[in-house]
Amino acid sequence: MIEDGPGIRTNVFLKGCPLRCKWCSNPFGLSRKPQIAYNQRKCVLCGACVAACPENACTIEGGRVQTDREKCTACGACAEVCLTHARVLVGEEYTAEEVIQRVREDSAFYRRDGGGLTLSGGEVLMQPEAAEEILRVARASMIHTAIETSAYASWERLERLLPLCDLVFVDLKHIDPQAHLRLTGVPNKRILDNIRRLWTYAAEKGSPEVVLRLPVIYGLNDDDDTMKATARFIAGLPGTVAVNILPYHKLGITKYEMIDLPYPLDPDEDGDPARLTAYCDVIRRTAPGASCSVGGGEIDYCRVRAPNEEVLADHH
Amino acid sequence: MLELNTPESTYQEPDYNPAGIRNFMNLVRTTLNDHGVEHIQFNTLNKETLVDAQAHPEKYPTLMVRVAGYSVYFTDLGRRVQDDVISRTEHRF
Amino acid sequence: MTDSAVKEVGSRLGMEWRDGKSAEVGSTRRIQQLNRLLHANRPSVDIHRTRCFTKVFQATEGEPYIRRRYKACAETYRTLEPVIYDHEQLAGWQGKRIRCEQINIEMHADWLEGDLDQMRVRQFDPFEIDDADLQELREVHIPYWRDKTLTAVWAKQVPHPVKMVSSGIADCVNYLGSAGSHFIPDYAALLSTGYKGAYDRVQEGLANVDPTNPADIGKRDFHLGLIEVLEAVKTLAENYAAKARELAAAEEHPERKAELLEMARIMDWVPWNPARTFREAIQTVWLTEMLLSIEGAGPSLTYGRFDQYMLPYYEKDIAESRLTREQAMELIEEMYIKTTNIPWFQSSQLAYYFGGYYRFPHLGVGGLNKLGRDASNELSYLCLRAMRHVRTTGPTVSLYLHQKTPDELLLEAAKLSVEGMGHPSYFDVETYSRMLEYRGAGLQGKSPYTREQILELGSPLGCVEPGVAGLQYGHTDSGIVNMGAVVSLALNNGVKPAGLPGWGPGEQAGPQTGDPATFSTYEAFHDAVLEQLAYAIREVHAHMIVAEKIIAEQHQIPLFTILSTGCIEKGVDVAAGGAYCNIGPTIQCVGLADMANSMAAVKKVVYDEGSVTMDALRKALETDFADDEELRLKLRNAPKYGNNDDYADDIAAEVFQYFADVVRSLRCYRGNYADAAIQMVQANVGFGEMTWATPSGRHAMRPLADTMSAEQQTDVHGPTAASLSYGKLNYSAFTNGTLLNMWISRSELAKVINN
Repeated sequence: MIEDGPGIRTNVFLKGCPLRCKWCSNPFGLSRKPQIAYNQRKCVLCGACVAACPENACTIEGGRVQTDREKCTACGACAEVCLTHARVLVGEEYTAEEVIQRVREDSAFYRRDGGGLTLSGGEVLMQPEAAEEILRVARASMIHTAIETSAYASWERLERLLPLCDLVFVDLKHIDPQAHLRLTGVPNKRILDNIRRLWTYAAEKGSPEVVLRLPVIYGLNDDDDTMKATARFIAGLPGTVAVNILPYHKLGITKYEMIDLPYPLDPDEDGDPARLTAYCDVIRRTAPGASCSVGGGEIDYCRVRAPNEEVLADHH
Repeated sequence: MLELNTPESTYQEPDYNPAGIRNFMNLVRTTLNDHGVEHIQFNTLNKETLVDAQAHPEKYPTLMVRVAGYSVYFTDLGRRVQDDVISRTEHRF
Repeated sequence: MTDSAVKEVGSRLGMEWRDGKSAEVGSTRRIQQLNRLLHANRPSVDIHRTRCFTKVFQATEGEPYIRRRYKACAETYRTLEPVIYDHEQLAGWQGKRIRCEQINIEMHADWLEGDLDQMRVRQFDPFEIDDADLQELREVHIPYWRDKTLTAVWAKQVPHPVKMVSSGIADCVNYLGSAGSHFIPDYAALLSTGYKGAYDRVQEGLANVDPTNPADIGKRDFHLGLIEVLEAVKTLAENYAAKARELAAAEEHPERKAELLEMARIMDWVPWNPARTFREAIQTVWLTEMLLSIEGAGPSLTYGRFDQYMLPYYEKDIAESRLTREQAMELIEEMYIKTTNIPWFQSSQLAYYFGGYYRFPHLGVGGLNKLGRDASNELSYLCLRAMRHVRTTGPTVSLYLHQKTPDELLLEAAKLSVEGMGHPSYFDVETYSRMLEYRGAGLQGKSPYTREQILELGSPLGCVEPGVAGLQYGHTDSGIVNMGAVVSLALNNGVKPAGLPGWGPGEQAGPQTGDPATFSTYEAFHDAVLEQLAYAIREVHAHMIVAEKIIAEQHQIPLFTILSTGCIEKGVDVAAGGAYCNIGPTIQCVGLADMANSMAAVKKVVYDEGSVTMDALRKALETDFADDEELRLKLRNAPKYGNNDDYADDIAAEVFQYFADVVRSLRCYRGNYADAAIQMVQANVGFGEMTWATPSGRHAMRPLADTMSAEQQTDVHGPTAASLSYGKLNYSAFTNGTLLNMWISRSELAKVINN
C-alpha cells in the first residue's frame, strides 16, 4: 500500500536545493556545499574548535561557539576535535560506488517488504549525474529505487532518471504561480508542466509508480480556493493519481539554529488537522479517479537514515 | 486473523501504525531468520512514559517492561534497575 | 531530577496500587474476577513443605538420601491442602493462600535467618508470614537445615567460597540457591498415559531389580520412593475432587454448583489417567507445573510447546462441539493467572535486582513439526491472544519463528509486542536447533539429539536456553563471568581495583598478566585480557562442578525424574544423571559489549592513533576519569559494537567465540561438557556496581551493557545497523543460549496509548 511506504528503506540525502520553501524541514539540504552544524546543547565550551580552526572562524561568545560563516570553509577540523559531537560536518563527499556500498549493507532488510533505496534531498535533480549513477547501479542490483523531487528542473533532466526509478514522489507546494513564487522563491510553471508530463509518461510506459505529495501549511496553502484549484489540476492528470497529503511539522526547527539560519515561519503556530481531511474530501469530489491519503510526513517513506546527510561531489 | 467472540472482554486494540508494524515484523524476521540471532525481545514503550512513571509511579501500577526472560511491573523494580532500562537506546525505524 | 525527588517504589507499594480494579482484565468476567483475586493477594511464605521435609528427614537420619528426599516430597503432596476459589475452573493451588511460596528450606536455610525480620516489610518482594510459622521456622527448621543446605555443604568443600559469591568477577551464587529448575517435562507423554502410565513402569522396574547385581544397589529405594510419590499425586487429586464435591453440596447457585461437580469429575480422572479432553489435558499440565514448582527451588519450570501437545485434544473437542475457541482461550488465561501466582523467593539483596517475584516458565508457539513442516495452528494464535486479554507477567510467551512460519502468526505476535508488556520473546528455530545439536558435547562432539527429536520436542527454557522436552536435564542458569571486571584485571596485573565492594578489593584476583605499561602492542594487551578471561571461567567452573556433585548426591527430585524420558527404566534420578542428555553446569558472561568496546577503544586510542599512552589511560581509570573527562570522551568516541562497524564488531565476535571455546572445553560432573550462554539481563546492574571504570569510557559502578545487547546509547545507527552487528556473532558456539534486548519506540507502532 503506497500511502504507508514500501518497507525498510535506506535514504540518501543529496545536498543542494533550488527552492527555499518557508516550511522546509530539512535546511541542511538547502546548500549544495558541506556545512558545519553546531548544537549548543551538546557543547561544553572546551574551546577545542577555536584552537583547531585554520580560518579563525570560531569564537566563544555569550556562552556559545559563534561561527563566522563567511570565513568557515567547512573543512571539518573543528568537528574532528569535538569530543561531544556538538560540531558536526553536514555533508560528506562520496562516490556513487561508496553510496551504493552503504545501500547494499542494508539489503537483507529489503527482501521482505519491497524496501530499497530512496534518493532525497535537497533536490535530487541538482546532482543529476550522481543520481543517475547511483540509481543505475542500484537498479542493476535489482534494488527497489525511489526518488523524492520538487520537479524543478528541465524535463530532460527528470526524464533521464525515470527509467531507473520504481517510484517517484513529486511535491506540489502551491497551485497558484504568484503564491508559489512567494513561498518557495521560484515559479511553478515548470513544476506543473513536469508533473503533467510525468503522469503522461508513467501512464504510457506503465512505470514508474508516481505519487503526488501536497504539503499542507497552515494559512499558506490550505484555503478553499487553493484546494479546489489543486483538485482541478489533479483531475486533469491522466491515469489514477495517487495523492499524499503531508501535514506540516516543526521537526526541523533546531536544525535552522544549528546552521545559523532563521526559522521562516512562526514556530508557535500549529496547523488544523481538520483541514487535511477537508482537503482529501475536496480532491475526492473533484477528481474521482484520484486516491488520496493523509500521510505521516517524510518519515513515512524513509525508514533508515544515514547518520549524516550526504553530499556528492562531482565525481567524474 | 483469528476471529474471537468475547463480548465481556476488557481488551481494546490500539490504533496501529501499519507501516511501523510491517517494519517491526521485517526487523524480527531479518534479525532471526536471516542473521541467525537466536533470540530477541522488545520493550515497546516511549521513553517519556517510563520517565513519567518514575516521577508519578502511582499513575502506572500496571506498566510492564521486559527485563530478563520475563516481564515485570516497572514500579516494582529497584531505582537503579529502572534507570538502566531507561538508559538503553530507544530505536526508531 | 534531584535525589530528593527519587521515588523508590518497590513491589510492596506497587501491589497496593494494583489492588482491585486496576488489574481486573480478561476476556470474560470469570477471568477478570480471577485476575482481581490474584492481584488482591500478597505473596506469602507457606511452611507446609518445610514441615514435611523436617519431619521426614528427622525421622530418617542415616538412611540413604534418595529415600529421604522421595519420602519428603511424597509427604508434601499427599498432605497438601486442597484449595478452591470462586470462579475457578482449573484446580490446584500450591498452598493455603494464593501467591504463596512453599519455600525450599533445604536450599534457603543458610541465608534465611538474616532476612526473617525484614521479610514482611522489605521494600522489594516482601512476603507475608504468620507469626507462629515465623517462630517455627526460626526455632525448628532453620537450626535443623542451616548447615545442610547446598551452599553450606559446598562452602566446606571448595577453596574460595566467599570469592565465588561476592567478588563480582566470577560468581555462582545464583546457581547455589535454585536447584531443581530449568526443565521441560515431556507433556505429550504424560497426557497420553497419565501418571498411571509412569506408575506401571515403576512397578515393572521394581520387579526387575536384581539384588545380586551391584549396579542395582539403591534401585529399590528409587522405585519404592517413586511409587510413594506417584500415589501421593493420586491422593492429592482425590482430595481436590472431594473438596470440589464438598463445595458443590454447599453451593446455592446452580451454575457454579455444576462447575464444581465438573471439576470433581475431572479430578477423579486426571492427572492419574490419560487426558481425554482439552479441559482434562490443561488440568493435568497445570497441576504438574504447580507440583514441580513446589519440588524444585528454581524459577523456570517450562511449559514447552503447549500449542503442539495440546492440539489433539483441542481439535477433537472442537470437532465434537465440546469446546469453543473462546472457552479454550478462557482456560489458557486462567492458566496464565495461576502461573503468575507462583512467586519466586529470594534474599533481600537479590530481590532488589531481580525483584517482582517473577518466575519465568516459557510457553512457546509456532516452530516446525518433526517432519520439518510449519507447526503453527489455531492454538498458537489463542496462546498469544490470551496474553493480550489477561495481561499477566507470566508465563513467558514465545514465538518460535522459522522461515516457514506464516506472517499471520508473526503479526499476531507483533500485536502482542505493541501492548508494551515485553511479551512475547522471539526465537529463531534453526539457530536454537543448531545449539541443541552441539549441546553439552564439547568442542568436537555432537549431542545425542536427533534432528527429529530437536524439531519435535526442542524449545527454549529459562530465559533463552535451548532444551528438549523430557530429554534434557541440568540447571542452565549457572556460573557468571563479568567481562567488564576481567578487562580491569588485565589493566591491573590481576589485582581487583581498590574501592570496589565485595570480596577482595586490592587483592590478587586473577593471574599476573604483566604491567600494562609493558604491553608494546595491542596484541599483548589483547592476550592479557583473554588470559584473565580464561582464568575466571576455569575458576568458577571448578567451584560449580563440586556443587553439581552435591546436587547429584543430595538433591534428588522425583517428579522431574518421572517426567524425564528413560529415567525410570535406568533407575537413576534425573539430578544424578538419569537424563537422556545431561547438561550443565553452564557458564554465562555479562558485559560482552563492555569488553568489546574497551578493547576497541584501547586499540584505537592507545595503539592505532597513539594519542594516549597506556600509562595515562591507567591513571585516568584509577581516578574514574575524575580529572580527565577529555580522555573519557575520546574513549567514548572510539568505535562501538552495535553500529555495523567491523572495527568493534570483529572484537565482539572474537571474544564471544573465545569465551564459548574455553567454556565448552570444560568437563562436568555428569560426563557432559559445559555450555556457554549470555542471558541474564538485570545482572548488568548488580555486576556493574562491582566493576571499576572501563576503557570503553564507562564510569565505575555504572551498569554494564545488558546481555549481548549494545552498550546503552552507543548504538546510534538505528535498529538495522544494530541487527547487522548482532548477525556477526557465531550463535552455534553459544550452546546455552543468547539473549538480546531491543527497544523500539512505541510511537513507531501505534498511535495511541492503550492501557
